[in-house]
Amino acid sequence: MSLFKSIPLSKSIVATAIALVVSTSALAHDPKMHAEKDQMNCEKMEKHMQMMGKMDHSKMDMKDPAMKAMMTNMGKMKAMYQKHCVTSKSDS
Amino acid sequence: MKFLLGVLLTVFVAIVGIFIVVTSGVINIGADQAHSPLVYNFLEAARTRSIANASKDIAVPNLEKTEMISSGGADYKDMCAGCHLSPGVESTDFSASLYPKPPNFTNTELVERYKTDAGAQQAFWAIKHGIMASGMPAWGASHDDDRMWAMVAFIRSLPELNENQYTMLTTRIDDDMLGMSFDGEMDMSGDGSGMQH
Repeated sequence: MSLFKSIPLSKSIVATAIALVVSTSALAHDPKMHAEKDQMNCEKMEKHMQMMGKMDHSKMDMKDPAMKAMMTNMGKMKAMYQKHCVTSKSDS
Repeated sequence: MKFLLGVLLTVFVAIVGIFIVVTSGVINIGADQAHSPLVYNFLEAARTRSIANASKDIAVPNLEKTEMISSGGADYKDMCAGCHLSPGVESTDFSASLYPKPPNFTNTELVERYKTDAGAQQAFWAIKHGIMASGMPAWGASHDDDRMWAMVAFIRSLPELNENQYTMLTTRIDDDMLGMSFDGEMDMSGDGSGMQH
């Protein structure tokens, strides 16, 4: 009781806030959680890759800005999938 | 003199009549009941003229930049598709429930008007300032102009997209994928710029 009385309210609020931030950030950096998130993202990207494979590019007007933007997006996704998902699969 | 008094009396009676009707609470403001055609056309004319007038001096940027269409697509999916629909989606809870009905931006004829400069100006204005009492938010309160122009750029291309193309073009590379917790650099743009909004 005397301990609580000796600590001013503002200090205890600050201490609680710091404790909360530290504990939640430690949770966010749990490697297990990251691995699960990565796996989920890879599964999501795999669906995108399958979708890309089924696309009929012959019917697309490649001069159209929307198609160009889509192709750029697909290129980025493919590169990311190759770099992070295919490599991690072969590693495991 | 009598004519003038007659006019003033008529105006007075009309004002009092409107006041009584409005304050009595008999007007149904439920969104599940349509306006009478007269009121609807009156409000639509007011909206159309207001937007055209307010947007006429806005400078339109180049809306055919690929990075603009790409970032606009991701924002469209997050902020607009729920009401304005997307390829393969004919109705959502929002699109079915709102009154007036939000325009369906997968409709080629409807979007055609946004391909002119005036149409692009009006679309940008509506996105930025919203439309009073319609459910259309003023995105300018939380988004910069570049981001809203990107949405206009994407909307102009939307009717041409099928479901798969829409998915590819609206996937947010920076947040959804670059946000992955992999080690190493996440900039996949190849030019070191990343995907900026």
